[in-house]
Amino acid sequence: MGCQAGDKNSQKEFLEKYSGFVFAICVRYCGDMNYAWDLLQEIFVKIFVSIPSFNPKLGNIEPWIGTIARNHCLNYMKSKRITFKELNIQEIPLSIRNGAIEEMTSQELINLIGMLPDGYREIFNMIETDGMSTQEVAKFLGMAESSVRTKLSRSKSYLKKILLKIKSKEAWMNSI
Amino acid sequence: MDELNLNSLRRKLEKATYPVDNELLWSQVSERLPQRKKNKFLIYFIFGILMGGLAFLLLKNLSENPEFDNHTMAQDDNEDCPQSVSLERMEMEKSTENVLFNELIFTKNPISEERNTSPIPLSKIENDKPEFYDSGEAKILQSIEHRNSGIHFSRPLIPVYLLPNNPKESPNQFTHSIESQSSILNVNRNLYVDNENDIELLNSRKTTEKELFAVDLSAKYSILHRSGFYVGVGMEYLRIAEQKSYYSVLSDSVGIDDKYIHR
Repeated sequence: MGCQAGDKNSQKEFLEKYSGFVFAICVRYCGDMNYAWDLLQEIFVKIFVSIPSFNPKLGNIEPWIGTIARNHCLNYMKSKRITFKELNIQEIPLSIRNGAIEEMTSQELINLIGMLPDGYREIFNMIETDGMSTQEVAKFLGMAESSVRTKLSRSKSYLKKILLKIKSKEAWMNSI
Repeated sequence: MDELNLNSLRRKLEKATYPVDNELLWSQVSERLPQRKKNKFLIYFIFGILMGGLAFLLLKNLSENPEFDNHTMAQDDNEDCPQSVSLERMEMEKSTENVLFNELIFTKNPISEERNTSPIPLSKIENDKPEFYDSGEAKILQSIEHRNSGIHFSRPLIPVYLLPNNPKESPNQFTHSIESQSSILNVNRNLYVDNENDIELLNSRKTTEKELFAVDLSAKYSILHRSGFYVGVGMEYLRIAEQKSYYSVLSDSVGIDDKYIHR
C-alpha cells in the first residue's frame, strides 16, 4: 500500500475513499459540525501516522479506521467533561410506525442522533450503534451502570420525540 | 422505538457516510502530516556529504599553503609537544629590539581525545603566566610551540557508556540527532614587561599589541538504535589566528572524530 510508504497521492486517494465514513462517526458523536471537522482532521493525521503498523493480513482496513475514529471521538468526549442536562421527557407512547427509520437516509439518521444533547448522544452511540455494553460505558464514563441505563432510556425517548416531530411536520407538509 | 427499528438504525449507521469536502480536508491534513522518514534520511545524507566535502576542501587548502609550514614548530599529534623554537623565528624576534612576545602556547593538541567541550584554549590564553624579562637583551625563557597547521585527525575512540534512559521506550528502531556548536573568540594580548618603569618597553608594548582570533565550529550526527547501540560522527574546525604588527601566525586544525559508543 502506497499509503504505508507515505506516498502523498496514495494518502489523498485513501482520504477521499474513507473521509465520508470517518466524518459520519465524528458527526454522530459530536453533534456539532465544527468540532466534527476538527476531529476528522486529527483522526486522519493519526491514521496516516499509524498506518505503517497496520497489517492487512490481520483484517480489513475499514474496522481499523472505525476503531481509531471512535476511540478518538470518545477520548475527545471524555476530555470535554460532559455535563448531563436533565431532560424533561414524558413517556411517549409508541405511536411511530415501524419502518419510519428505514425510510430515512443514513445522513438523516446521523443528523437525528446529532440532535440528542451532549452525553445522551454519546451513550446512545456507544450502546445502540457501536454495540458496547452498559458496563463498558459506565466504566469508560466513570458512572454507575444504573445511571447509564437511565440515560440510555431517556435518550431513546428523546429520539422518539424528535422523530415524531419530524414525521408529523412531514405529514403536515404533504397535506398542504 | 421498537427493537426492529434500532436494528435497522444500527445496520444503516454501520457503513454510513457523510458528505465531505475532500480537497479542503486534504489541504488541511497534509499540512499537519509529519515529514516522511525518507526525506529526513536524505537531509542527513546530504548534510554528511557537505561536511565531508568541507573537510576535504580544508585539507586541500591547508596542505597547499606553504605559509603555514614556515611557522610549524612541533610536528606531533596528540603527544605532549617538545618545547622548541625555530631559528628563523628566534632571529625574527631578536630583531625586534627588546620587544618580546608572550606567545600563545599550546602544550597539547586542542583537538585532544579528552575534549568534550569547546577545545579553544581560552583559559590558556588568559591564564598563561608570561615569562621573563631581561631588559637588556631578548631572551626567551619559555619556548614556544605552535600547532602544526593542517588537517588533524584525532584517534578514534571506543568508550562504553551507560546511558540513563531506557532505550526500549523509544517507539522507533532508530533515533537521529544532530548537534552543532560554534564559537568565536577575540582576545587582546599585550607584550609583557617585567619592569613597569622601563619606559622603552612600555612604549614598545603599545605598538606590539596583538589580537588573537579563534573560530570553532563543530557538528555531530548520531544514530541511536533502540538496543542502545550508538554511532556518532562528528567534525570540528578550529582556527586560531594572531594578528599583530610584525608577523602573523595561523594555527589551523580540522578534526574528524568517529565515536562508536556501545551501552
